[in-house]
Amino acid sequence: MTASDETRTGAQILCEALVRQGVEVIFGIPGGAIMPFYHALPEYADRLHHVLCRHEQGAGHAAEGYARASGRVGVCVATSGPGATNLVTPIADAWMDSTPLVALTGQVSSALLGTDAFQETDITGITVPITKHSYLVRDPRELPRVIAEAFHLAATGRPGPVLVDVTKDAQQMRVVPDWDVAFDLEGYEDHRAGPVDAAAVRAAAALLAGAERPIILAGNGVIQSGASRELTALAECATAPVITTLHGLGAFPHDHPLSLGMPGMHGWVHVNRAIQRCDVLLNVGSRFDDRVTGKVSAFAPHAKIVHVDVDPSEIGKLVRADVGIVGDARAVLCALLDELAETRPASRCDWLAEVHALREEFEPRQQYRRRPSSDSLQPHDVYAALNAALHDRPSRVVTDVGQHQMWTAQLIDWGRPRSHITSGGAGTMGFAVPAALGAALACPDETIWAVVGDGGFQMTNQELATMRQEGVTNVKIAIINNGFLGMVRQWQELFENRRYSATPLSGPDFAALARAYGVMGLTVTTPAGAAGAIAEAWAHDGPVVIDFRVEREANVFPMVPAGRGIGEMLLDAGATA
Amino acid sequence: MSAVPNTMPNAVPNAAPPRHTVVVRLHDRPGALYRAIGLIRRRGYNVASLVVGASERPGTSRMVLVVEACDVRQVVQQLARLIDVLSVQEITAQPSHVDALVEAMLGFDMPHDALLAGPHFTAQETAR
Repeated sequence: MTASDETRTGAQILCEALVRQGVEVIFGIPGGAIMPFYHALPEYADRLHHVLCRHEQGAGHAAEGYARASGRVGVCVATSGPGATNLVTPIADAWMDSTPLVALTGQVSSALLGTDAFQETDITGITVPITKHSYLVRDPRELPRVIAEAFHLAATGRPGPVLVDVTKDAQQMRVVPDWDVAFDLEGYEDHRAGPVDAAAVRAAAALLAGAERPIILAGNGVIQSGASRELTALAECATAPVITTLHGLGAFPHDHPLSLGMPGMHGWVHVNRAIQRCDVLLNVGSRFDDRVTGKVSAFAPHAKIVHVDVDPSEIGKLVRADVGIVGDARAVLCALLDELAETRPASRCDWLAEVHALREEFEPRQQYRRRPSSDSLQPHDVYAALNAALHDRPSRVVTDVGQHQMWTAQLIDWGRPRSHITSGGAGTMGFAVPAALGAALACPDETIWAVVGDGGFQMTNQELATMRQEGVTNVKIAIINNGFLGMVRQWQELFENRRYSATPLSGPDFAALARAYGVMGLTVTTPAGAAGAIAEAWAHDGPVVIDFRVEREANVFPMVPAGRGIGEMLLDAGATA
Repeated sequence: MSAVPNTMPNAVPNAAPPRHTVVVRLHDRPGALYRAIGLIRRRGYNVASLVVGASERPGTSRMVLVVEACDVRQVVQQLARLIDVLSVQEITAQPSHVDALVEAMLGFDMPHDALLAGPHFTAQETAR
């Protein structure tokens, strides 16, 4: 072999580097500045499957859905300029929800950088606040190290998005790649890997052992670290009821006797009441988001707080921690279990009885759990039918953002980690349809249900064409169609005297639209039709869109009005608890 | 039980938050300084003064900033999250007086690292 045969273009090195990271699927759209990469891609077609999306935002969310369903790093690709800026929303989404994502973007040739060249955008600059790190690569010799670092950073510590921007000439230039390069990450500490602070663990264990009314709050960190078993063991060992955040749903089985449900703005009344009563709150892997805490000064007023987080900056950021433990959720839970094995936990009969009484008191009043007496199709009819259909079948549910998202969180029985995928921190409408596509490719043997409002569906429904082109069959889309931007309308109804400014929303005949994409489309207008449509969709060997035309002004309750403490909940438009 | 609200106020109205001197060592790489400054901007930290220059170690910079913050630990932790940041030190507790920071080229006939090895070099870098 001659020396020249060993050279590779930057684009080939990029593909090879992805293969070396174990990447199998990437989502993207080509364009001028990323063309050399796409030119090289067919050589790697047997190892790298490229999914051509219809919009870069779709590609980004699909990569997120893939990552969230599989636990692996999602990869999306776009060209410079508008291609790259269209990735900004999914990158921000991945940043807020700590989703491991590598975004590859083409950039104008290095000679043109900084000259306002055609399709030049400073994407590394634009994404500074929403990336864990980013690279601008002008020399293809850097690519083996940069790609390895990018995947390492995206997946370790607190996961998140990393952007790699590669100039067109760096993709074209031929060099001999050196794969034997070390990371240059002196400033990076993977807090999952370090030893757990033993003194802090002892202090936390002592608080738990001495508590009369402990509660465990479990978040995304439990799911990301695969710590559900340890969470269950600790809850049982400490006899502590477990509440799960939106991103923690599935981290703890809903039918466990210690499972309380979701706290926060649309959490259950008895869960928020229990938080207000607890004397020790152990937060594992969640960040005290304002949708969980409500007015923070009124949150858990009697509790000593133990905060376990892989990111040291989260400890004490919003809620004062009496004990902070930096580390991987599973490692810390194991350490706590070891420590508590020495002590004999109290039975906590009084506390469990109190929690039970709270549930008994508020559940009958939780009218939102029952469907209103009406002949028209209620959102609850859809969820009851979907929940029954999901039971014990290999499936995941992806939601968008808004009323349907909260109903899904409330009304589905979450039994296992990674079965619930949603856009939480960023609250990105348009997430569900492309994220379901990504999840479907990550889990080809499962059925992926996307539950989405008519507003969010109209933001990214073009990815139906992607599903058709890819031959994806395992995505079923349930549109909770109320002809409104429903959550905003609900706020307008409750807090703005029903001034429905810019919330009534028309749409096409969604079933007909689906058929135009070559996808099965169904329309359901009666309560009796819901279960049959879901069964028909499940049985169909292809994507399905079901247009559930529900009661237009149904509301999500209970609700903590923005800025209020979680002890102040609206049970319906007239009643507070 | 504790009656202290579980709050970490980032800003106290009507009172200027205390000043803290923070020393940040970071890689001298494209974008590194931009990331650090951008973080200070978007988190709303109030910077009283800021000096950046090459440090004694080639390829790295030292940034000394005086921030007004109720919770300086957050400033430190957020800066430490940045991949290009090598270390962050809050030195307010050490004896120092800071009105303004200046960067000066010192003409000592002495290696930089030896000159800067002293414990109070940062205070020496500062001047009234």
